Amino acid sequence: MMNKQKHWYDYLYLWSILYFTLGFFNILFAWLGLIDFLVPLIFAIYSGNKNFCNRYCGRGQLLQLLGSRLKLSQYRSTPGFISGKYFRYGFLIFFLTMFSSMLLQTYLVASQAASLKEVLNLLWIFQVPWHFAYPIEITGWIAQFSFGFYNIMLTSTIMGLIAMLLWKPRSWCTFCPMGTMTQGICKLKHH
Amino acid sequence: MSKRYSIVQQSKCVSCGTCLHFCPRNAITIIHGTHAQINKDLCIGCGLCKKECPADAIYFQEREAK
Repeated sequence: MMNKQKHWYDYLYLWSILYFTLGFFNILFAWLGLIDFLVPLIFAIYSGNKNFCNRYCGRGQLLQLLGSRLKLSQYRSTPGFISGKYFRYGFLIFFLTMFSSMLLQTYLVASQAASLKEVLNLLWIFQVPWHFAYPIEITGWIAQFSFGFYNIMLTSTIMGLIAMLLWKPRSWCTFCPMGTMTQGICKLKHH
Repeated sequence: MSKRYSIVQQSKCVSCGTCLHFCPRNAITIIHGTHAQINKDLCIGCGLCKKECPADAIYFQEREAK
């Protein structure tokens, strides 16, 4: 990045690192990730902009830092279909389906129809035990939401890291569901 | 004045704002959260935005000789 004047929000990559670190020790910190879900939507719905992506996205900054500053990115072109609208909206639908499934699981635990699963389902394939981050037992559904939400946050970050390594530092941004959703809202708002 | 300047292909731009952080002349603006726009009078055609754009939405345009 150029040596421009730095603002406080240029350091929000530290928030991403802190978030995943806290969730490693206590899964309940996963709830803080709702900030990253709600703030972009608030910007898009009320102000009709993507200021979150443009300025405040800690994950985007982290990917940029790793890919550009630490030179981990191959700097190859992102395949055209990935930044194309069919893939972007398809991935958004898939992501929202997975999000709904996570909410359903939370509901099932709340209604005692299912038991709490202290695991992450990384990339929706790999089951990873995460019981060490649940030191004190609390209300089941609150814990279940934490595991589910942290899983979504970590899985999407892993996908972002893979895209960063393969293509450009912020290739993830081309199909990030939040980015697709907020750009869609902005388009609707300004038409 | 540089011989070339950068242009954003609106249909490909995902308005992520990556280009904003690299432009040494602050020539880029995100319009309505939908796409980036480059002020060609400020652009020096350095290509930093083009290099970083994850959607490959930026290309060069030669300036017309005056």
